[in-house]
Amino acid sequence: MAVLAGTGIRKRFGGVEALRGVDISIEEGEVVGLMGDNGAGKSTLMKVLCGAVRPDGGTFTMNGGPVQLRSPRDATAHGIAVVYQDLALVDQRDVATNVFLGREPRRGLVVDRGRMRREARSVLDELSIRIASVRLPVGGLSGGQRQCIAIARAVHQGGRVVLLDEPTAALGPEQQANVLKLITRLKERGTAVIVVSHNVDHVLAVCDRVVVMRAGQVQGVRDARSTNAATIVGLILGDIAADTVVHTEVAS
Amino acid sequence: MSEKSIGRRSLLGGGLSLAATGALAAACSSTTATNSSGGGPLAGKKVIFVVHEKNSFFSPVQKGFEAFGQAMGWNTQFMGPAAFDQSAVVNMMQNAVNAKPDGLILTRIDETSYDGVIKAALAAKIPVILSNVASEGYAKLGVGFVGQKFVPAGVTAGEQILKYIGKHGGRKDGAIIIGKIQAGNSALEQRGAGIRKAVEDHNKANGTSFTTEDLIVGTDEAGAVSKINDRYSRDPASIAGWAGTAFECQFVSTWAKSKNLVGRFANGGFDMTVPVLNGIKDGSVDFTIGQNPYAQGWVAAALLAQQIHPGYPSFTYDTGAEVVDAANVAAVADREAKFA
Amino acid sequence: MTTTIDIATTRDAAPSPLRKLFGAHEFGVLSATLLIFLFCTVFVPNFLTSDNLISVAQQIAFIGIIGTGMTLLVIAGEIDLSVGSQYGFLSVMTAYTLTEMVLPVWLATVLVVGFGALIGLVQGLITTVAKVPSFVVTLAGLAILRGAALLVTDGVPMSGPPNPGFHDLVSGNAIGSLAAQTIWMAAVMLLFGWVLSRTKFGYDVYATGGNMKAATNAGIRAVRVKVLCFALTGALCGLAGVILVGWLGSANPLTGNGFELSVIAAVVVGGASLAGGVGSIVGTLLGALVAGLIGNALVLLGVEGNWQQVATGVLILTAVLINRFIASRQSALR
Repeated sequence: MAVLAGTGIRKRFGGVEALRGVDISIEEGEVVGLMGDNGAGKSTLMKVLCGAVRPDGGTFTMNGGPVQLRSPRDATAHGIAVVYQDLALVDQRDVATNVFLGREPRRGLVVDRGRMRREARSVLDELSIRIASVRLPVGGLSGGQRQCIAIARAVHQGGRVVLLDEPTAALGPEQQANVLKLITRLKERGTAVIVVSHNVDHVLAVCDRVVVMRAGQVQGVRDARSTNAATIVGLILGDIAADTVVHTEVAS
Repeated sequence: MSEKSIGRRSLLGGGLSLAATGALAAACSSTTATNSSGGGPLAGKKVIFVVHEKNSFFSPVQKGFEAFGQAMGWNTQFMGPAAFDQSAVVNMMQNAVNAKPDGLILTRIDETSYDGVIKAALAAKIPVILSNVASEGYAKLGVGFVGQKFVPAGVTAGEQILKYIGKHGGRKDGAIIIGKIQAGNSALEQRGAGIRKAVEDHNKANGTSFTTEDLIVGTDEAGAVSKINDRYSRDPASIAGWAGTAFECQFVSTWAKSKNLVGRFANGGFDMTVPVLNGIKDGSVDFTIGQNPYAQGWVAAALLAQQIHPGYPSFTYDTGAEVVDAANVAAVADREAKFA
Repeated sequence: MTTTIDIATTRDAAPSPLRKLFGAHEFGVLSATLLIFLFCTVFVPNFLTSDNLISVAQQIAFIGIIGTGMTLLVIAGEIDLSVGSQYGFLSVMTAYTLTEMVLPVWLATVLVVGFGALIGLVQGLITTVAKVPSFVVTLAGLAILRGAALLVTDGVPMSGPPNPGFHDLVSGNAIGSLAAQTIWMAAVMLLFGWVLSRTKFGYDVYATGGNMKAATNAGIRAVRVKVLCFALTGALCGLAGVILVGWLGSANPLTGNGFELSVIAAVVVGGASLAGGVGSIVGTLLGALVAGLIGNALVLLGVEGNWQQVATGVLILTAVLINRFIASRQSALR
């Protein structure tokens, strides 16, 4: 059963129909790549999924039961966490504080810093994220480490479905590899991950399925192991005709 | 690299910059060390003068103070905050007390705020003289005062402005605008009260119906001119004269000249700044009242000297209300030019 | 990855006290303060006497109290240029409630502190809801509140009631000959130093100023945090006003004229960043101490008035440069 599924999602901004009846679903422990040209509707779909934008039509279910995602708080409460590039971390604060940002453990009025550091370390270790000390300010860390910390927070704060917005953009090759490794690690833990990316190679390397959007609709869904970059790019550019029975294929 | 070496290096850097500022401080202080002349039991005494706001008015006060100090062979120090702030003034005065001077000259511009520090100085056996402004109740502190008696000086200014209203068309009614460069200064308030009293007395004696109103103009010329213009524009016919409580008449002069209104009303005030004296010369200011600021430095220092040695008690010295107008402005301007 | 839990915990263990000292944000301003103190001890006559040091501690009380609010506000990424005017207006309000309305001191204090919080609340709401930069909002507040102080008093200093109990409470000798003002400052700074560094609210303040978007995404009510910091700053201006009136026995409508600059200087010398997210109460205390020591030493040294202005500016700049220099050395250390 899909941990999160959306059916017939529509969203109109003024005269522009950003989403024209999109179906999407993701299983536990599955990594779905969301691709498409600029303006295809990827970011609107992400915003709808994390509650930041309310759709005009469509329904959501989580583990089969209907849910409403009216605000980011709603989405967070349902275990949907989003990691935006460069909008996630407070550079001046240390790693532990960033992992717990907004949800610091407390003893009475006081933030329990010892527990925070211990738990932050265990989260990092569990996800095999290498950071010298959780006392380091994140501003001094590499882009890859920062991305990993942002993802670790999403997971640690109870994210069962993690949405990643361009997680590998603006990173060096080694750091990109670290982030991809972390995505694999999330999958092994049973976390559902939706990755928005422009990088076909990264998506094919790490995802189980690839959903390609074009002009507010799902152009095609492919199994990552049985497709190739050329097919995906063809779908993105519209050179390959849209599938018509997208969600039935997914259900099988 | 160990953190110790970093600590040492930064300490070194800091030490160097601090040594530089120390040299700067030493250079500054050497400018006031005036113990080259004089002699006798008062030579080498350290005397500090703290004013509530260090503005251009106090230049002749400082000159008078330093001239006397130099004659006696004193170490003199003259200071005040750049912008008036009650606690900044009190702090500066407290620091002056802590410097353990042989004498202290202060301005006391309200009735309570400075008493703590004055008492602290007296308790430390430091003689204190007030200068320029004393405010009510200073006598019970047992300290002397050198300065103008503000209410009578205000009455003098009021009489002058009425005299010049008579000369400029002889109106029997209209508003006399009492200008203030600053709010919250008891000296200006008392002069204003004196002006009002003179106007009321004049109305009673002569059956006229002059009114008075306050206008705070500030010390910035552009701002003052626009405030004066705003008041004029509101009701041009209502104004009979502009009576300042300090040097506001110089701003009225600037404004009147730019609007071609010189001579349409009486204009006068206090202090002998260069623009005020120039205004009297060119006819755009009718009069000003001097308070002999030089004496407020020189005489205050002299009272302090005779209190330190041989030890006569201090007293109050009125530095007067000298009327300066077209008749004597040339001589006064020559005199004041000596402070430029 | 081959780490074991043991290694992990030792890696995250607190650094040695020495290393912690050298690595602290406040190490720069601490060095500057100690250097100035040493310099004064050696070269400034009459400096190292208990009377003089006690009066320095008394003189920095207002910068310290108002600077505490300003520290939180600056860390939250905002600024309040109206603190000098608020302090002046609220000291006038203190004298007004005591002398004109004849209220008891405790009630006047509650009213004035509450009124200060209200002023901060309004400025905070305009800043955050109407999205006008706080620089602009509080610049307007600076003018409005100074005008209000002058209007209430007609420009004349307003006397407080002759109340020896009140005077002793805010400025009498508290412990030995230490002034009560110093104790008030210490209490305020201890309380908010703890709030800022230990409580959830303090963590939210740092997060809000460090990256408001991230804080909001993490569920922190950043707008509310900022508004609370404005209100706190206003309330502390009220407290400072009450203490001032008790101390000096009168309120001058020009009280606090230009004071915002001294407060901001202390906060910045103390290592806070005007960009937000960085700063501490300890730093601000040291910044205030630097200001107090400089003001004191220049008078004791016999520096002539106009040069005091120049020297104050030069020394503040020097303190900041020492701070910067050490910070750059620290980042090289990491």
